[in-house]
Amino acid sequence: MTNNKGKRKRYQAQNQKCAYLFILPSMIILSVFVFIPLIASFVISITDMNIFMKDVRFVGLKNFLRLFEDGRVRNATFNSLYFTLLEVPLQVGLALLLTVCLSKNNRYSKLLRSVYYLPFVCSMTAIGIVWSMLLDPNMGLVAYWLKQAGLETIAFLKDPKFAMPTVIVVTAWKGFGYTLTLLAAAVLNISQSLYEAAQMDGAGSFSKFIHITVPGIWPTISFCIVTSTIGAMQMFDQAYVMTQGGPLNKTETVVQYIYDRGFQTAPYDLGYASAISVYLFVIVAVMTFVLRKFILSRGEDADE
Amino acid sequence: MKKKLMSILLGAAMCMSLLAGCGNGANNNQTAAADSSDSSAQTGEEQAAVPDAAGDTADAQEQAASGEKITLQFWNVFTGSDGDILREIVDNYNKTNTDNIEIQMDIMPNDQLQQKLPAAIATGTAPDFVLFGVENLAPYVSNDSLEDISDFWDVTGVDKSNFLENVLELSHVDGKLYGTPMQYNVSYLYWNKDLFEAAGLDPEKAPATLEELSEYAEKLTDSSKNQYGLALPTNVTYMQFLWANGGDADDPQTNANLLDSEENLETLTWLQDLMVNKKVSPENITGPEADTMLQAGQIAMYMSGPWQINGLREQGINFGIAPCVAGSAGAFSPAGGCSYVIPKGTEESHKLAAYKFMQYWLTDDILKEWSQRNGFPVWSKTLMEDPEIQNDEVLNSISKATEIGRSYNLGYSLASQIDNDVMIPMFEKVMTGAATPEDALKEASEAMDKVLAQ
Amino acid sequence: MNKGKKIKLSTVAGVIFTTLIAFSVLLPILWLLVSSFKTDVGVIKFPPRFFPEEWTLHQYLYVGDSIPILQMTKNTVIFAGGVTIISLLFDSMAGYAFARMRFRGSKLLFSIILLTMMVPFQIIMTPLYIEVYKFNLLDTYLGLILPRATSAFGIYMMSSFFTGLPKSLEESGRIDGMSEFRIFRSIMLPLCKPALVSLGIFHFMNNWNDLLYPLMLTSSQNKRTLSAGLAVLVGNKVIKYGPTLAATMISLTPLLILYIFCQKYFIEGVATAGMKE
Repeated sequence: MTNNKGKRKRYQAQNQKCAYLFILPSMIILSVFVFIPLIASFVISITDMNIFMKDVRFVGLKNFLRLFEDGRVRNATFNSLYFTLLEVPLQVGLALLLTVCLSKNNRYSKLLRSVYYLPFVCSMTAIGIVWSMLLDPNMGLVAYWLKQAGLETIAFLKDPKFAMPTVIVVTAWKGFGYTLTLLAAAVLNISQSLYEAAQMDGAGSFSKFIHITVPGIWPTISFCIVTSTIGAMQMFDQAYVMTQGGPLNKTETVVQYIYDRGFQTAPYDLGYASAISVYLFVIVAVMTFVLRKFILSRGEDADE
Repeated sequence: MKKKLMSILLGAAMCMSLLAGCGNGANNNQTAAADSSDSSAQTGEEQAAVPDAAGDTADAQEQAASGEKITLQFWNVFTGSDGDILREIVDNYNKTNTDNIEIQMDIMPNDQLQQKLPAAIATGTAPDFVLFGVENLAPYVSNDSLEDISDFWDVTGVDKSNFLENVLELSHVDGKLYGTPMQYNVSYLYWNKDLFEAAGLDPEKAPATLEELSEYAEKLTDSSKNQYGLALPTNVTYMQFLWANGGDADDPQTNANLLDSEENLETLTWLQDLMVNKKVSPENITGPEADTMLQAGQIAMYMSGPWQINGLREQGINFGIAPCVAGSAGAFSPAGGCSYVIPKGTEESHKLAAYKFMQYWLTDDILKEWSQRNGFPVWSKTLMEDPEIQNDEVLNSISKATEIGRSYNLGYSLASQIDNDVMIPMFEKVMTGAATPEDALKEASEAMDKVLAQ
Repeated sequence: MNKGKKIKLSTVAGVIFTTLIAFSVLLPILWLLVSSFKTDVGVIKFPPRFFPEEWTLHQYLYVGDSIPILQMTKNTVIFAGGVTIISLLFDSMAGYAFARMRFRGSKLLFSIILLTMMVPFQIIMTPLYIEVYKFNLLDTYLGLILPRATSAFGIYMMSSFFTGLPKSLEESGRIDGMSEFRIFRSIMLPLCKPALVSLGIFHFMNNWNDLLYPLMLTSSQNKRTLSAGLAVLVGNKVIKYGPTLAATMISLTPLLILYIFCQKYFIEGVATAGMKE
């Protein structure tokens, strides 16, 4: 007994050392190239620094106080949340639905899965250019076809009401194939015997989905939700290419406003831009924490 | 197998990147070091080139005598087709200059250049000279990031009086010269002659007043054909309209807010009527979209700079160029241009070499080539006498339309904030009908106070 | 037995639905492909046509004339390839440690790593530039690759994947007296081939398509990557749609080709991983 215990202890100590070695390279790189710049930007947020980095003065919390009075920050926060709350469920939900439709690993499913992956290969810039050309209410094919078909056309990206929904759909269109491949890979890893057992218990396909598939791929679903939420809260490229935040700032997200303050509008107020990004950082961190702690913890708890 | 391949690849990649890192690390160590290694590479090239140009031995000797080769890094924002012409001119300069100067140019979109350049200047990695729009000068100057080049005329002996005063003025901030002009322009009114004819209008006569503009625009709009009389993008400002009725935005000299005026209200009301009631322009379009629609013949009139000309020619549009329309107070058009500037920290010998290239640009031959091939107005007095220039139809109408140029906050450090936070949102709200002209003007005036208070 | 005979309504609906989605995915990409062969006039013509009336290579030739495509492709391959290979190794190592090993501070460290995902690049851009400058790595391949040589996303993804593998796996290795690294290399890594390929493709694409980052950290044209270089074609004041579409196609094609090849291996990988159990 004692012998065994000692062995385990020794083994665990070695295991610990090993674990640190395993994460060492990543930790070094992340610390140097992400943490230090991040801390730098935290520091910048309490100064009045601009991108020329001259005559920097400490201004305390002035930038943060300014932030809470800025209507455009409120508007951008709303837009980012609006985008995230619709885009993530749409993308993950669509991927999940299609995973079910394509659950048989036959040739047809494989082919479609790789077709769905295609938009993900393209850069957001390319996607943005293509869709804004297609959806242009005056020149675009989609508007033209709708008109030919005698349907009422909407101005898509040009309409303050529809601009954000359009950006959401295009983003989900680009990303769902990726989510799908992740989910499909996870589904194929579920042991076939579980399904057979359920089959014998007379479970229907819906019940099999709820009781076997979903729990089986829960870590992957949770991963997809968390990463796409984080990605969605940082949405920038899409709107930068397709709408530049317009019309009437209806698609201006927090990152876009940060970009505008820091790099597009002189005096290029990096201090203020950094303050907004600290604010965004806190929002995203809280969201992720809440997501992981209360909503997605199912699978991980079961694991521990 | 796969694993082996993987580890080989990994090893190779690491070695390669390490090697690349070492080589370049040494290069980047100091600008001076980079230059010397560059120049040694170039001397090698030169020597190889000498046998080819056997007849030019005298030339080669002269080059050797004039000292070491100077390599200049040159950043600019000339993406698109005018960048091709600029590249040709620079390449030609590299081949023909006798001062042993080699210019390496790097083109990048304006947004990216504005992100990179300040950080590059702060770290001493900035290029030797840069070409960008004059509207960018003020923030750089107020942050002490550009070289004062007021001695340019004395050092190079270029005759300052040969150039139009107002063009040179664009490169000045607080009376000091920070750049040499490269091109100059205002906004013009382009019109599609074929569409005019089809609508029963005189194809040779452009509208001259605000009333004519809206009257023509209404006649030229035919939504069933997806054709619009006038394109008014929503992401820009329309100072020409405000000025035409005697209004203005602000006074950079006194920091005064001039927005809240009867004249401006009148203009904005007229603009909203044009957009929202008469619907003469496609909704919420951007500049590039308007360009495209003009080129596709879906737009009859449009106000823009000379960079439209080549596109319109290529698309075979039958177009005319007129000055911006007049209101009760006259006709004006916001002036702009591009200048060569030298970032702070460029060493003296490179600064002088950059002067040489600027001097080259300011010769009539180059200015002529640029104007003729790109349709930019001429601002060199001797060049205006040139018969070829005088007979160039497009340049003639351009020059006429350029006379009404007026500076809008150029050299004013708050300019971009005024545009982005006050003027563009105001015009957008008025043009989309999101606010009444009164409310939009009031809101904009308050926003203007906030900006000016800084 | 029964199942084979009656075609269920839900199956039909599923086929129709999935096919429709596939069309919505393919049409815009097909449009991009054929439109890059349109003339300047054709590409902005109204009423718009899906297929060109006149096919031309003009746009591609124009792009080829304006930009050193080969050099830029080479840079992009080195940059994206280097990042992919190195970060696959580092990500999977760290992901493995977080998923299968118990060590002090693991929860905290993992949360910290997750936090780094929440940093928009725009905000660390300027400090990063200065840092890379201080390391003397501006405008070098190493300077481009190193800051990207691991990613929170990759670590998170690999750790999710490792968490899903059955517990018994490393026990058998330990009983055999294998070292932790051997267990990782010989037992775990082969099992996560599908995840590795999928993450590899992800990294490769992201870096291939990235615009702002490589543009920021390179200061000369001969280190510029393809997508950053092609951005030069999109005019400052005027957009020429023809060359823009051709440029988009050019930056896309290598990825498409790679995808077509990898995708086979990808799906095979997924299948074998499924059978292993």
